[in-house]
Amino acid sequence: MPSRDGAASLDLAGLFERLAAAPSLDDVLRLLVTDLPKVLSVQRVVVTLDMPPTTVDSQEETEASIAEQAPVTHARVARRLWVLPRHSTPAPDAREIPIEAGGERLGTLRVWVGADDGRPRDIFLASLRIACVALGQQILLLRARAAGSDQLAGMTATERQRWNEFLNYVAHEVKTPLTSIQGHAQLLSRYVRAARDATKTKQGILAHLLDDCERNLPPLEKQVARIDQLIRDMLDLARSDDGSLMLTYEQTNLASLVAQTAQSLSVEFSRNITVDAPAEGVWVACDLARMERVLRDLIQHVVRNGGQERDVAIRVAATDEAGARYAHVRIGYQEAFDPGFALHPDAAATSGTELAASPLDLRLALSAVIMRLHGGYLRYVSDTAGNNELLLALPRPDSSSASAFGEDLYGETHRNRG
Amino acid sequence: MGKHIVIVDDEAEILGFLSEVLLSEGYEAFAFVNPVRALDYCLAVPPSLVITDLVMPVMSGQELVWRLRERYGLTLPIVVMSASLNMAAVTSLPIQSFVSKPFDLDDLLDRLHCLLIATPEGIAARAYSPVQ
Repeated sequence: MPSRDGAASLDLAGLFERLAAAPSLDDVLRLLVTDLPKVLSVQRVVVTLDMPPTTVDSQEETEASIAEQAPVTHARVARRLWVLPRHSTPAPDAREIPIEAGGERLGTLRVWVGADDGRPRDIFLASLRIACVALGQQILLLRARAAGSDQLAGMTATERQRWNEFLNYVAHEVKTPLTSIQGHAQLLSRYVRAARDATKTKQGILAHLLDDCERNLPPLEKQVARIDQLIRDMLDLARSDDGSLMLTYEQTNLASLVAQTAQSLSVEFSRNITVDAPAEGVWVACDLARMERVLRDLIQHVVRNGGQERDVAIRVAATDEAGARYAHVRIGYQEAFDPGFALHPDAAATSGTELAASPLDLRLALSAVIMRLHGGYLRYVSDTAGNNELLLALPRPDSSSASAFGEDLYGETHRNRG
Repeated sequence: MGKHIVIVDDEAEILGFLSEVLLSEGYEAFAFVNPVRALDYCLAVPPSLVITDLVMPVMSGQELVWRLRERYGLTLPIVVMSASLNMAAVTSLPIQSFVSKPFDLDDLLDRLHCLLIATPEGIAARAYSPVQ
């Protein structure tokens, strides 16, 4: 039986061959951050990539336009590779490995490896140093390709720039009057409160006027907030179409996020919402703000469409099916959970309807898009009895990466903020 | 004498309600539709704090920020308010705070209050991490 180190070195040779032949920058990163620890049986790894966006994004965009593929964003790289976002707090005793090429410092990988990993830890760090040289060379190569294809890439870049300018213009033009409406409404609210405090009168014209103002201003502010959110949603949808919607990933306990959201909505709608989730939590990497929004929208959808008397039930589970690791959230009614609701994306097509980009309403459409951008999906079933059930699925990290985000390492830093 | 706040926005109505609420909170508010005039004023009369829009004719908010920094360094608190989606334009600016339009008035007032009671050293330190 070969020794642990011997087996690792054999696999390492294959890994470096694949590194040399890696077709893209994110393939190189994936090999470094996910495959290398596996080859060496290193259990606990956290890697933070600190590289200016211009270095990574522009190269990937160029590469994508050459290959005529959708651009790979920095955020996507972060998710797929379990590289933490650039602004994440690095582990206190992380090693710094420079990424250099042609005498230029392109970025830094900050690496933390569990102390109990022993010898493989040293081999991993040494291998990573060598591999970072390959990474630097890869970036130089991509830059050279970009220089040779400026004209080809230029058209796409110009079109994208025009589209972004248009979106920016629309946002500016719509949000500016909204700012004025909301500002004046809030100012009026302040005056009404001040007048109410100043006057002792409970009856008469002034009292009625203040009553009328107090009754009518909150809906005005609420509807302004709703339009603002609608604009944000529409912009998100538009940007998701051209691949420019950026997600910021962070390690999140989905079970805890669902429980918090459900509790808040339970109070808001005076409805009983039960959450069944594993006590140890279900950890995923997601854009926390957007995921919170998706959960709110989905739970609200079920609450509003299920009649006033029905209790809403939510189940959160970690599943492993057909080699894929998912975190599932099922939202429906306790007595009507569809037992045949498929959990795997391939099988689900027979029993669930995958929400397309233009399904029941804008919020669900956006939720479906956000889930797809996360590498997950959203499915919907309903029947003539008014039962409807939503299934949300997010990919979970593999076990080695998941352990790297353990609570003992980062404590509160990467846990749910909500 | 109250704190002396300069507001710059090419939308007169936004200047209107902002001036009104600042006055009601005891601040002295000086509102400018034209950023060039705002700059001239700020160079002549040092303000306690500046609130500026980004996308404006004649002079952009970015240029205004840099011109103010040239004159007053990092200790002058500057708050940028914008409806723009271009966050790169904001994150590269040496400002103390950013509010996205439309914004909540109470939230804005809280930020102003914090900035105006902070020490000059604290203000300068915050200018290195602009988007709060």
